[in-house]
Amino acid sequence: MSAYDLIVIGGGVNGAGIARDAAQRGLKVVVFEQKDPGAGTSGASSGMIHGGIRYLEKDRDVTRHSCEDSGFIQAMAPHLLFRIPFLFPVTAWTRKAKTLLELAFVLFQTYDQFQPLKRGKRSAKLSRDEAFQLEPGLAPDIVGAVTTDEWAVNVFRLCILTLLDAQAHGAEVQLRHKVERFLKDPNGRVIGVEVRDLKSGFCREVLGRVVFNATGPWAGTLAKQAGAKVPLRPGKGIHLVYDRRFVNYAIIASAVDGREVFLEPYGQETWIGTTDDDYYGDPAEVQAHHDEVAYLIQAVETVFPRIRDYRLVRAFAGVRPTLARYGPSESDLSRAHQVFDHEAEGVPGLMSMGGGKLAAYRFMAEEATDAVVRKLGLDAKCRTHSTFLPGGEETPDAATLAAEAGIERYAAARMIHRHGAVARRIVERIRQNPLERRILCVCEPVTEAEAKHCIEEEWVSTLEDLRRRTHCGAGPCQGARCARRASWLLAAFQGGGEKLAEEHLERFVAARFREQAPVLKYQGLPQLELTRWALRKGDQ
Amino acid sequence: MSVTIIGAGLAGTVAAARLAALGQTVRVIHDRPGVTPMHGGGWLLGLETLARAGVPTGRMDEALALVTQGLADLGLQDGPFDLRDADGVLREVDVAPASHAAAARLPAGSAAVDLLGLGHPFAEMCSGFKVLAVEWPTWPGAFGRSYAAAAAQVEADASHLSALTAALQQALATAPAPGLLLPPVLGLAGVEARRLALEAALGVPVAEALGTIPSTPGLRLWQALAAWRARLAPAVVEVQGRVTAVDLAARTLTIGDAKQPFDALILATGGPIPGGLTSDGAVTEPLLGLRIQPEIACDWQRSVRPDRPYDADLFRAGVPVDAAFRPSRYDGAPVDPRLFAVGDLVAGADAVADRCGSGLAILSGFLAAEAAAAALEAP
Repeated sequence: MSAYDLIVIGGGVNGAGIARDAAQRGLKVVVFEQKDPGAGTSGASSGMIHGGIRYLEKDRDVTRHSCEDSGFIQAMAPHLLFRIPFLFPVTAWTRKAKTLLELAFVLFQTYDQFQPLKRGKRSAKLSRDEAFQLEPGLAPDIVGAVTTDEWAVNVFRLCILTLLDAQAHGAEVQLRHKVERFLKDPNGRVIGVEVRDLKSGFCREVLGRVVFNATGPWAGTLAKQAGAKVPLRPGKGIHLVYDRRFVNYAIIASAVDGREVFLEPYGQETWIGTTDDDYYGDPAEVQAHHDEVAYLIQAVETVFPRIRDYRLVRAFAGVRPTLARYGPSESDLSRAHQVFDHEAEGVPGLMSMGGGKLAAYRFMAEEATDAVVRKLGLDAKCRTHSTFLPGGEETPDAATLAAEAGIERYAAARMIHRHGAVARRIVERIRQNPLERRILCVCEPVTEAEAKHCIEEEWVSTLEDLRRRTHCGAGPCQGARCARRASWLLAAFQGGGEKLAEEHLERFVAARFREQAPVLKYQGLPQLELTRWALRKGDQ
Repeated sequence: MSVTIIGAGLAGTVAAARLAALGQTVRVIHDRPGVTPMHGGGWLLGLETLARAGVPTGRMDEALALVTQGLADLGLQDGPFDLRDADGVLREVDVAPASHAAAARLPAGSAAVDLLGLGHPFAEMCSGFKVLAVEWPTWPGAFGRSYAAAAAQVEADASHLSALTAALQQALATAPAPGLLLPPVLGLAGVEARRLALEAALGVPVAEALGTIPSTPGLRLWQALAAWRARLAPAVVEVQGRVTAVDLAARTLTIGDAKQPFDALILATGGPIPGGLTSDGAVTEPLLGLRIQPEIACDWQRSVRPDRPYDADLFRAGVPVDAAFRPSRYDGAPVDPRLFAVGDLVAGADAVADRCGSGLAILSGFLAAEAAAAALEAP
């Protein structure tokens, strides 16, 4: 059995980032992900790669690293990013509203010093009328607003592309592999892991010189198995997803407990995020609940009164691996990250990561990989900030690709958003087989060619995987129109027939239900009934 | 004395037609479409299911005769048929419009037509059919299109159909087939005439597959129902508007700001779609707060088995009724002698599990109308 230099456990942004960095530095790397890239914390984030004005007061470093890294991520994969300008409306609830507006503007201007790092525009103070011109849906009782400029990223694609790049540099990527236990030598040194292939059910032992635990909210329990400690205070956060994009600016609102939440345009959808509550359960089982949904809607209603008229499609939940501190309320916890070398605790060979923000994922991976490289006695510099993610080297013109492929410009633009220059290869597929230009997912839209490309080259083994890669079935119809056809495509690729397709469909429907259930109270109920009707089993 | 019906789907319209036939005057108040326009093209009457649920099915033939006569534009034909829907899935139906029913008579070896440029990969999975891919030259653009949109375009502009006919002729010349199964795109009204013209032009039998959402057959049915109600004027009067409250004791209902009187009321407001039942934690009937069975009192999110999410009480929930389709109390007595509930609103009906809700809609509309007429005549 040949030993790896580095075994990375976890295929979220952190695990993927470390694998990419280490592989680029010439290490022999393997990544084990128990489910699918981004299926845990990464994919449940709000996708913002921002410095966070919120952290400016307490964690200036977090803001700086995040802004710096945001700039690097934009350079690595420009196609995955989209601009989200923020509006902070000040409501006339107190006599000091005008003063509050001035204070907010000062704070936002302080943040402006970081904007050049991430191609951000400077903040501006808007009068009441100006604010309404930009967002007519704002509450009538505002006195004005302050703006700032942020960016968001398609997190699922970020994970996948990072892993694809790691693979291109020689790393092995093993999805649906669960680490069952650590292997130790007689001196207590971690020398590898026993890992179970969840598809076949078989276990095998894998040796590595360093094992890196990048499992996010699972990091604490996993480290414990090796006798090490990663002190986390996991925090649950949920997001609501609305049908259509009905705001062009993210709007900051204050919740009943004073926490900041926001209404955010995301792709073709509008999201509300997020809650932050201590979480004690299994991160794999996290699910949004009615009360949290009500909390977020109540908060946004104060600045966007008609929010209840819009159609809620789903709510998703995730668990932050926040670093532990006893005492402060959840939102006051630092978003700093930390790399743990467990040698200090008498568990050499094992390292972990805790805390952190999506925006600084590359920076965190660099820091972790630096530590790994030092451990191995090597001297290799990080290059992740100066190399493109697959497809990032060029962003093709949507109109040209649309004409070449015979699809609508909008469909081409969405495809380019996900694949960058690799979209050309998908268009090449269409040129060889024009039938593949048919639209599979009408909501997004996704062509059959793109779905097949992802199925063949991006480790898709379930319909949920396909949803994460392409957004197929995640739109307002929740798969009512595409899931059956997508199941046929996937089953055909896997060499199965109608029965396999039906199994895929059933599992997808169950997964979609988990996210639909919390919002059924609102307008989600008819949608569920409709989806059930459309995806009901054939009468054969 | 007049009967008011809230809801103009299949159940509401059948009830209105039956009342008109009985010499009553009827007011139909409707607001927005529910499940009726999602009709797939075929009806499975589900007589056994209805009988099991305690619905007297003896008069289905009479009810169906009324519907067949009223929806003459659809050219309803008696089955049973095995028909494919636009997903290629085989459905069994008892009654189907002529353009769909023709599919059961297609010769062996027929081809399923895959219309490129439309968003759906129809026919790829139609086992037993070979696939004939045809480019529809006047139908550019692939995004957001549906068969229903195509059918509406065909209805509006005849050149689309002549372009399709030419493309089909060309395709048949290179790959001959003894018959063609098309997606439901042949317009919204006068479909049978178009199908026959296409058959004549191509020289082979042609039929339409059933629909999938957004559904062409559903749009056709919706239009045909409206035309049927229009023919029943002046016995049937239509009011567009949303009923926000009903006062049973005062026999008035509220539309907008206006209060209007009624003598008997038939609720044909549907299930969760479009809001005959609503859920705000608990599932309720919003107009009268009628009893719901099975009761779903609170956070039902936790009452659903995660492995069978679509098999929940929620979808069986509805208003329990007596033999005359009057909503009933716990003791079985009617809530009001002149209040009726029909169609998807009725408890025990799960259109997805029963595979179709049309049988109940037709029969309950028919029987409730007779009961309402009788109630008005009673002292």
